[in-house]
Amino acid sequence: MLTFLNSIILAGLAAVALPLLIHLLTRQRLKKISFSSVAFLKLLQAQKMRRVRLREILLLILRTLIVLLLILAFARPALRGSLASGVKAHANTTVAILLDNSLSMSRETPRGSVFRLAKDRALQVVNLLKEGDEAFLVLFSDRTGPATPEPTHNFPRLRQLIEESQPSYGTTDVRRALSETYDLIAGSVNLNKEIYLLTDLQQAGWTTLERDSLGVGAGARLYILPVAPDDRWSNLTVEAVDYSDQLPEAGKPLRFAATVSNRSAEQPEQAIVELFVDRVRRAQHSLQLAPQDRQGVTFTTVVAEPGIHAGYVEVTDNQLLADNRRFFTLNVPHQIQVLVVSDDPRAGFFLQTALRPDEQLHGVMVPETITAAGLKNRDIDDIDVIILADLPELDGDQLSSLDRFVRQGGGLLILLGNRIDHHFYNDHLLARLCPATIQEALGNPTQRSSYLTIDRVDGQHPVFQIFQRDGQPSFPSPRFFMAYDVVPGEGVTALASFNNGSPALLESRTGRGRVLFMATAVDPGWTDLPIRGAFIPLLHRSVHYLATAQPSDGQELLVGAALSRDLAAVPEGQTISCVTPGGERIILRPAGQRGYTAVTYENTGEPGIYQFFLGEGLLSAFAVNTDLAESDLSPLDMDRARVLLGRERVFAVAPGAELETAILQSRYGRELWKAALWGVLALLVVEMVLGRSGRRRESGAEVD
Amino acid sequence: MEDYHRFLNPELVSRLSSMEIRARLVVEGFITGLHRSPYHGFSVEFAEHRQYMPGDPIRHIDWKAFGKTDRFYIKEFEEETNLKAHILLDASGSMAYRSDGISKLEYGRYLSAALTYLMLKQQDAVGLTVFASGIRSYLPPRSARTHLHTILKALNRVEPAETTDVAATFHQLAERIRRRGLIIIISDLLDEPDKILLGLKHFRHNKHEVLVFHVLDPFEKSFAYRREAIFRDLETGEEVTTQPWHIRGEYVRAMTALTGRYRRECRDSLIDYVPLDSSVPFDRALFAYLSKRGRLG
Repeated sequence: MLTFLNSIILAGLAAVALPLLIHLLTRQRLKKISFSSVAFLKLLQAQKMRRVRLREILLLILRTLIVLLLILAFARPALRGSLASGVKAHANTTVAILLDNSLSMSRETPRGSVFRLAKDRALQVVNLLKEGDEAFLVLFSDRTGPATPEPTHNFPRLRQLIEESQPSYGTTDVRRALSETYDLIAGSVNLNKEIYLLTDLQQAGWTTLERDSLGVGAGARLYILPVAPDDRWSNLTVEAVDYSDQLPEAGKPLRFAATVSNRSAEQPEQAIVELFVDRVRRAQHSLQLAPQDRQGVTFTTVVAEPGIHAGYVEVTDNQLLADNRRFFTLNVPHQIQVLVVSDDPRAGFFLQTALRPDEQLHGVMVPETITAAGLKNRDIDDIDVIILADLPELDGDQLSSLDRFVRQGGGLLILLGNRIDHHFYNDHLLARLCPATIQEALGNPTQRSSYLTIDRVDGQHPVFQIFQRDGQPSFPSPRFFMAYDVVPGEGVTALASFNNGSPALLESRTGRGRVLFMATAVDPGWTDLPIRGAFIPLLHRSVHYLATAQPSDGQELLVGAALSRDLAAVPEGQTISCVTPGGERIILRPAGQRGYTAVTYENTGEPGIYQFFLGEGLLSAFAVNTDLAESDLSPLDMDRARVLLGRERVFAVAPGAELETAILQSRYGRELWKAALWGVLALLVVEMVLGRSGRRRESGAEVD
Repeated sequence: MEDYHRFLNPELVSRLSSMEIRARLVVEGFITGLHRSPYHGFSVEFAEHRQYMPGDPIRHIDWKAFGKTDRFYIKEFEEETNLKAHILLDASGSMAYRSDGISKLEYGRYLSAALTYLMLKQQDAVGLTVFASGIRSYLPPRSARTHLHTILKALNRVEPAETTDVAATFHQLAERIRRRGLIIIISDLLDEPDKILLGLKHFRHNKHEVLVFHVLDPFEKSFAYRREAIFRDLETGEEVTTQPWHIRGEYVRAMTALTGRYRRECRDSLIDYVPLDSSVPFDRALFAYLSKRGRLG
């Protein structure tokens, strides 16, 4: 609809009547001339003056239109879509400036970083604020943090806050930011509410809106101000660093597989990739990456000392620096204490031998075999992994002790056998630690001609990652003459299955610990597994996995994730602290829960290595990385963004557009005063031509 | 010696005080001009004096010559005719129109006076009829010099009427004037042309010689007004608002066509048609008269 920004001028519309009044007054003041005879004049009047009168009427209309358009031009007419918004046009405004400070905003451009451009744009928005307006400044990535929890009228302070704001390493969640901002401004009493979204429109930030679109709320108008220049961007990223197919051992070569990608759709890139361990550069490779190319790089290095190590793989890049490093931690175990609990001497022998073939050899695995009865008196706090092999049952205390062990992060491997009590396993042990049900036995140990094999394994699982050939799972299956048919319960995953479809190896997570449950026994009567070549690597990887899988649960920790470590107890007089990548040491408060203690650190806003210390001793190290979604700088199409926001009351202002004009135009509509002035000019020309064509062309004496 | 010639200018004449002076000065001016013109020879002056003989009219005695010579002399003119002329002066409302100089009626009055003076000086009988929608005054033609004053007095009294009916008046006069004579019409002829022409032809039908002085104001011919105005009809009071520049061309064409028609039809009917405008010196009309008079013998 049409609205007027300077509506007071409209009072001048009365002047539209001027041409008509002048016309009428002129007619009234016409001189009367006595003439000999008007018969001729009447005759000619009838013929000629009809056209003249028509022209006069046209001229009158033209002059009226000229005055009308002139007044309208000064009244600054504007076309807008909403009547309600028009009413609000002159009311005080509540403004929320949403400044995207996600990682992608750190990209460098020839005119400075995208975040710097966003801040400049935000300052321009502040310059548009008038006395009586109020404003919020909201910095957002995947987290939304109002820099001004209360609306401020102190615009100099607002400018200062904008200037002081810094980009984060977080991902973008536009939906969340908008939703929280709607809540923030919903309580404002001002009729006029405006949200300015300053962002690089990076696609990843809009995925939540793609899933669940969100219209503009709180009766506000939303202005999207994309700030990233529409240029050719490039970005090299280290996507992953992986060594999980090996058991890190001190002094032995360790192979790191890094994946490097060129996210740009247009520009090929020359990349130098380097491996750093404990801040020392260990290896370097050079890569040529085509657009959208992804290549793997392998580094081999030796970590001399056992313990917790940290490192990263870095790629050289010059536009977005924050995602150039991929951090990792490396736990080179000094020893893994394994407690084998079995009343079957053969099973105990096979397991003990497989874990440490020679007592004289130095190895990581330190196994100890005891019977079920011995478990009652054994302190298991120093044990990393417990293996239950053909254990008939446990009493209540033993079961509780085992349950606490697992929930505090211990690893448990359950193997079946002839002695087990199905009811105890189904009702107690498995029910508490690995929800699954043992059903009927499959096969017969005496009939060696028929057996089961494992025909499906989860090749991506750390236990089976080494059993691959040409990138495909290739597990050399032993023969299983007997096994149990097991039905997995909720939260239990089958890592391997027999060829009859029944699960062979299951995994569950209980508390902070993990449980692996094998549906057969380590008994030559049940299977030839103990004498097969795959047995030792399978057992070692399973134990290693159970011992080292915590605390990150095998998943990569991303910026913003909470870090936690379980402890049996904190010694008297000792403190637990967290040292951030920036070197800051923060004391952590342990929190007890179900008989164990945990410390948590949540402020992981920066990628890098976070270290937990108990006193001066290193407890754990965590590698926190940036979300790869932020590395793809492809912007979302503006129209698509508007669609996702429902289009209604959503306005887009191009990066190069003059902000005040664009904002006023969208606030008040498209201003038409220039068109009105052009209209006046055109009408003046027409009036002049029409007027002159009708004026006298003959000279003659003036008669008064 | 006074430059009488300047008294042929209508505007100047209008400033003179009495009608007689106007008539005399116009004619004197005209005659002065004649002496210098190719029209020399018109017998408007007396030819000689002769000794008074008993039986001669006493009124022909030249008393000035008697005063000088103490003898009676009689003025004898070259020609003496018994021409009877009727001056028909249109005093309709439209004749009162004036743009810048004098009105058409004034022009007509002065021209009538001059013609009367001239004709009486030539010993012709002259009469005056003032008409508008009908005959308003009628003075039969006489050749006595005293008749001059009568006519001039009548001319002094002429005021414009409101309406006009030229054609009817012409018919009425044609019927009234039985004896053949010279009919001099001074009019703007602003009436229906067909009827006017019929009236003129009526005179001709009655064997009259007809001389038409068609008097128009310069602005009636050019319609050179510049501003939009309300034009009020002097006779009917009707008003027309117009922008002159829009209709000027059409108007001039229409007026030219009208005068052209009068000229053409008068010629066809052997009527002398003399278009005049109120700024034209009187000698043009007087020439026309003398030319006509000369042809009449």
